[in-house]
Amino acid sequence: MKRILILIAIAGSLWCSQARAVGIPGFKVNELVNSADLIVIADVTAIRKVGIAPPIQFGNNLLPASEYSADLSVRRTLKGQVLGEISVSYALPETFVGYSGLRDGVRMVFLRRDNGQYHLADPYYSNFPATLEPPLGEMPSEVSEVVLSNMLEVLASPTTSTSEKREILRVDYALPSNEKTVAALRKWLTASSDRGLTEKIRGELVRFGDLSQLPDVVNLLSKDLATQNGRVWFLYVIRECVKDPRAIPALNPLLGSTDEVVREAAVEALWHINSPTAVPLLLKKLEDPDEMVQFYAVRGLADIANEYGWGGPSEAEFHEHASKYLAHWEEWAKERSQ
Amino acid sequence: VNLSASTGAQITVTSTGQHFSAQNNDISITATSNGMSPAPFTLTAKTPWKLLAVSNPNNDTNCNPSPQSYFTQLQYNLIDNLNITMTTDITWNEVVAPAVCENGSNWCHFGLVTGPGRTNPVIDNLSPPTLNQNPSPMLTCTGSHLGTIRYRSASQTISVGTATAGSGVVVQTDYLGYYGDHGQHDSKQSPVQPPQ
Repeated sequence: MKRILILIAIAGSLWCSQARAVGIPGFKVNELVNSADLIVIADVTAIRKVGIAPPIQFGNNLLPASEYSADLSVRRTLKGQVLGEISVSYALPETFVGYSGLRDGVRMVFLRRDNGQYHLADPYYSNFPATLEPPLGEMPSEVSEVVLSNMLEVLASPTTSTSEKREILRVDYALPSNEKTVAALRKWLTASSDRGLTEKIRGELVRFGDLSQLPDVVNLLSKDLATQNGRVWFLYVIRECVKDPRAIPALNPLLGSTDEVVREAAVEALWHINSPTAVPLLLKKLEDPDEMVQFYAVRGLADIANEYGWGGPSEAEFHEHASKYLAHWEEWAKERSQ
Repeated sequence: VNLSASTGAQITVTSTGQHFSAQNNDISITATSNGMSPAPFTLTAKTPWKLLAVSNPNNDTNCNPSPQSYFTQLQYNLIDNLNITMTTDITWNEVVAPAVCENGSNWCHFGLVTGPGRTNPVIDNLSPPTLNQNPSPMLTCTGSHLGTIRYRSASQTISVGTATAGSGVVVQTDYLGYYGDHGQHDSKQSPVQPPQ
């Protein structure tokens, strides 16, 4: 028996020492709200390890785990029974596999009640930073929208820390593309003096449709004034997130850049914008020396014209038959101008 | 594809092609009745191709309480064979080769465990050995990712479409790089072409 216990201890300690590269699911607000019986904004205090928990099954592995408890003083209830003080218990693997426990401070906490006790509703996304300041505007009626509103308030608040705001940005893909998000990010931008952080927020604003930031972003890229990280981020948001035809004039300077990566991002944006207004610029870029710029121009024209037999093409198809596609769209332009 | 005849009877159309689309709407179905053929009904056959990194600054490094240390979260969008971000949630998996110690570290002596995730976005979390195992050199977590010396690496192949390691469509190969204060995917390679 003693030998078995020693073997278990050795196996456990080896497991504890292992490094991790694990996939985790993305944050989905509706799923989290539905899985929680109780959602509160609370002061989280007295987080403590209270002992060993039963091992946690993770994939094919049984992970050694610890049991934790924490005290919550509820300040606002977003879903479920209105309570004052709550004691929460939860188990976490000894090593990090993406699961997160509670953190001290004002937090929005998602709980589920099992066997008369409150536990974390989700192992990955159980709590986010929160603020006790009054809501930015009218509170929505849907709980998931209230949750998102609270997350935006953290971004806008002058009292929350940069790391708390960054914790919200870690799930930026789940934030809504609307005026509230833009307003919250603008407030943060006003208060930010760190260059890297300012670039990050500017890029987020472009991502969420704030065209007023685009000229500054374009200027930083055109004049090569962005940091290395900022440049990568700006190129990402331009090529993937700009979809508004009103952005076309602001993108124009990038189309003449000497850097083909910048031109590619700008033409990819024109493709995604999918507007007849972009046709003259796309036609001009059919003559670009860079094949990827030509490819995105062809994709843009194909989506706008929507001609049967000329949709797409894929990169491989274009690479193999580039002259056919370029000739077709040049001909299409001639016919269009007559 | 299920169609209905004029009598309401079901007709099943079976594909005989074995290729994914090279153009949008390059698969067509034409229903002919009494010699009349209306405009064809068109389809596009899509397949996952490659990952697109959601930029460096979004590669978020955070600190966990001791004995854990940093974790770095790497985000990607999944791109299909026609260069469009796939918005459907798909399972992904990874195959990781045995790790190599680098620059005098002992980090490769601690095993490396992996696990699948879901796309939209793809999120891979990298975390190093725990502090109570005395990794050498010792780790520091500042929340930044400034370290330039890699102490451990392992080749990684990411595939999508299933949680079974090694199955599905390969969308990226890289090296898991563990540095003193952060992790990252090094030497990333995407398939040159999507599955044909």
